[in-house]
Amino acid sequence: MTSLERQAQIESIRVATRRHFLKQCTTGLGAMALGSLTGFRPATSESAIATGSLLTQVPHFAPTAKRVIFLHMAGAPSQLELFDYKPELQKLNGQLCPESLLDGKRFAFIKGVPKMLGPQANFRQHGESGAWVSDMLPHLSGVVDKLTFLKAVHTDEFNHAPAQLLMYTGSPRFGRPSMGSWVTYGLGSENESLPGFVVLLSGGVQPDAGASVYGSGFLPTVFQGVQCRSHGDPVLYLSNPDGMSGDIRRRTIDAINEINRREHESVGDPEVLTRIAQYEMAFRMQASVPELMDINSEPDYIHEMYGTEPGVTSFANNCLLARRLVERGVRFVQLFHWGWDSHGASANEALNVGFVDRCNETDRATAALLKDLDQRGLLEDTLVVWGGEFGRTPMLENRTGEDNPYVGRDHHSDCFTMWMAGGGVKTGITHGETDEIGYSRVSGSVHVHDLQATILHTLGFDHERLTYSFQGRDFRLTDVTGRVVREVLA
Amino acid sequence: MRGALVAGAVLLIVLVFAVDTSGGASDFGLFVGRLHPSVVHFPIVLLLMFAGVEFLSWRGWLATSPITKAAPAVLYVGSWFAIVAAGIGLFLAQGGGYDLDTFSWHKRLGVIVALGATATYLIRTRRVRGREASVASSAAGPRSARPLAVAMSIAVLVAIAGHLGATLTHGEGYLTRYMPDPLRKIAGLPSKSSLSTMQIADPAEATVFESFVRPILEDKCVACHNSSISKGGLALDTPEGLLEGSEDGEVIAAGRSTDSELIERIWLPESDDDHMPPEGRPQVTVAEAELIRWWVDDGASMERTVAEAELTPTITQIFSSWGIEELPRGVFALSIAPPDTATLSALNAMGLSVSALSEDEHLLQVRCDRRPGCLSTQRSEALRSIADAVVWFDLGSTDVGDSELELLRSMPHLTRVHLQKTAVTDAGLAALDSLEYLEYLNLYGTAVTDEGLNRLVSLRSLRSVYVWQTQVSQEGVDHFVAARPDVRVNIGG
Repeated sequence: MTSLERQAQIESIRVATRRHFLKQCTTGLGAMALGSLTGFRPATSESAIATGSLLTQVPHFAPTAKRVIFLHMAGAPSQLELFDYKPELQKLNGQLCPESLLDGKRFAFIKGVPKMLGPQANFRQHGESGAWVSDMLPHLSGVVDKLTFLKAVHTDEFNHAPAQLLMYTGSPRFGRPSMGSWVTYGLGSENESLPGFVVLLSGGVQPDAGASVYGSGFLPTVFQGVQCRSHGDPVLYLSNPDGMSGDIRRRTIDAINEINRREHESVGDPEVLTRIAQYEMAFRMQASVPELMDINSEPDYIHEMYGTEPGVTSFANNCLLARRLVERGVRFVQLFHWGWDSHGASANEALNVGFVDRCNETDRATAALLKDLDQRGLLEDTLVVWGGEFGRTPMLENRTGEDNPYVGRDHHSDCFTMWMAGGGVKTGITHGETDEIGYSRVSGSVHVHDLQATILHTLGFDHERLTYSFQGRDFRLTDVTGRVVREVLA
Repeated sequence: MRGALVAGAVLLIVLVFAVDTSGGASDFGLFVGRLHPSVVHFPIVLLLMFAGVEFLSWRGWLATSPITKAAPAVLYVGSWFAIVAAGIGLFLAQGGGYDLDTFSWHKRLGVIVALGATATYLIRTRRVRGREASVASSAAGPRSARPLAVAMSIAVLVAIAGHLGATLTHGEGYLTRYMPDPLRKIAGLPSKSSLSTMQIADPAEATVFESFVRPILEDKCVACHNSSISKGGLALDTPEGLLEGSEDGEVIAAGRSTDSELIERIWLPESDDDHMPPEGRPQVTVAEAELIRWWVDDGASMERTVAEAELTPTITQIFSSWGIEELPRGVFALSIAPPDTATLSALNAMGLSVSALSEDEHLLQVRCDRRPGCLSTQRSEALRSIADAVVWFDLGSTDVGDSELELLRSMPHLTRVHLQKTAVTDAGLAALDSLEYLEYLNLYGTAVTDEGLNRLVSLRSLRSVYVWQTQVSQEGVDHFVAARPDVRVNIGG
């Protein structure tokens, strides 16, 4: 789309204020639709402004997924204790790592020559697909036939913040829009009363890269991720203060919007339109969000299934919320669960303590989410992605010395395991392979940009064509690389 | 000398009738035959040289040159080599594997050249002797153009026969393969870029066999394996012949490429005695071999269209390297008329969400919100006028009931229908009976029973049905899946 057309679209938003739009929608839309049928998009009401759907694209080809739930295990869980079973590594346990493996490699913390560390979990094959999963994930083991494992994912970064940025924005530095923003920029929201991109955090720590991993970068800010909290006010500052009625709030917003409109007429900054849209969206969210976030309404067997507990902040609650969000048409739900950074430097960071806790916190809810989506018929067009920002070394990291009771592994960017489910990817297969100690990729490499290209592909977008012009250059999520991993597409 | 040449010519004529060029080569015959390429270039050069000398003499440019004296000798030696080359060429042909049309013309022209050159020599030297002068003296000045015309005709025939011979050896289009596009245009050939791309006009219509397999067989196999020359009793020029197999039995096992002799022989190393096509013949490329194998594994059907066949990553990659991306299948392979935009706008104004599935197709997804009157009379009427284009219809959690579902009868191309959490019952599902493209049906949270589920057995495209929280029993599901093992029924829990 040329910048002129875009300007015209933005102008059309300006003209179509809430009331004008309702008055003129028949003729106005007719004229727009005549312009391009194949580019026909549902712009039915004032919601078109609020959800930014006037700015969104039409999929380049028919999608297999309509929405995405990304379960991010922040801190980077060890693939060697969960999915990438390496019996050979057990035999090398305690031996010094050969120098040849360390040549030219950089690690975040390992110094000198570390010892090899065998798998700290027992593995078994599960399901018809015979996928190896460790006993730390008993619930997920039951649903492996719904999954596609990517065993040879790799990234360029070995520290959390840049790796998370690379995973979500396609660049290890700040400033680019996040995946959820690109997706809502592409597809808009299916629900005019909810944002298209919602973020749910658990584990007590914000993502290392901060809100940038769900920010909209240079895309209009209507596409940024909105953080919802399962404890307290679901969306901060959304509730009316004491003594403020809904009616007064409406009139306040009308007045603010009128001022903003005038401001936009005089300065022409499209971000002012976004601000108007966000006030409108916030007003509607005052009604929609409390209902959405209230998981008390769920039946007991659902709570039992997920292991949820209303009123607390937990990964399980967030999984249940994720299902409720996609049920209501939210495009991209991003979960972050912190605590997987198992260096072995403390109990909470140890493979034999904290790591086990993280598994227990997430396993049941993850499996429940997949089963629940499936029984509602949602899994077929919802892509669920699980993974961390990188993997962990087959070497022991021992920062504190010999008598450390905790075992851990360092950051490893060369290979790690992720899985995908639903949304038009194959089921019960494994793509990619690592060597016998899980240190290097052997086949089926998937770079983070390849993963991004594949996710966009399932949503109907050619990652090379979903671009946004900024400061004289067309930007895209996959930067200048990325290959769709067709091997995993059904 | 003249007598020997006449004897040679007669022997050639005898050989033309005696040697059966359609097969039955002996090792010694083949050994002699394979000398053909090493001999054949001598007569080509000599006869062209003769024509050149004749031309220059005729123009008077070689008036006193001694080279004109050599003309009869050149013609004599050229004629001998032509006879020998043509003769041993007949033995080479016994090895088979040549394109029949091209070969029969090459053979004819080769023999004509040999005999023509011989005759020219005989006539020319006899006439000269009568006048008691040498051929060379005739070069002294312009004279009748008739001998020149004969010499030039020989040259033209040599050129054509030579080109056909090269085509037999190197394959069709060897000469023009790298011709620059401007020249190609003059020669009336398609541009270079179009050569590398296999074109499928309409994947819904084109069958895998006709579009890919048959052209490869025609190109690489049929020369030796056809209805008239069926080496090993195998004729690959017709589908019947292919299915019938060779004298040793079937050569393809539908669905099992590993048990198919045709596939095995193509994939054997070229040095293996059983490898086909034989060593030295144009070989089946890896991409072609993959395509044939794919066709066999996919059931070796003569009718299955490209759109229906099950794609593998390898085939997808081959297609994509030919510029064939994302073969349309199912409803995507149909040509559906673009819906009326005014209606689309009107529907969106009525509160229905109607949007294009993608920019490439005129297909629509329609979603109802949860407000009352989801499929009111007015909305239904408007939807009827765009019904052909609707493929995804989401009526989940709406107030639709059995009577409103009648609308679905007018939407023949539906692939995904959401009816979860509605008042739909078994009776309403009757409206789905004719949906031959329906792949996904969500009935969770409805009052549908085993009877309703059973109604769906005949929906041939159906892949998944969701019946959690309905009256459907596990027995009902088992019964259904027994009849339709290709459908995933999710009963939840």
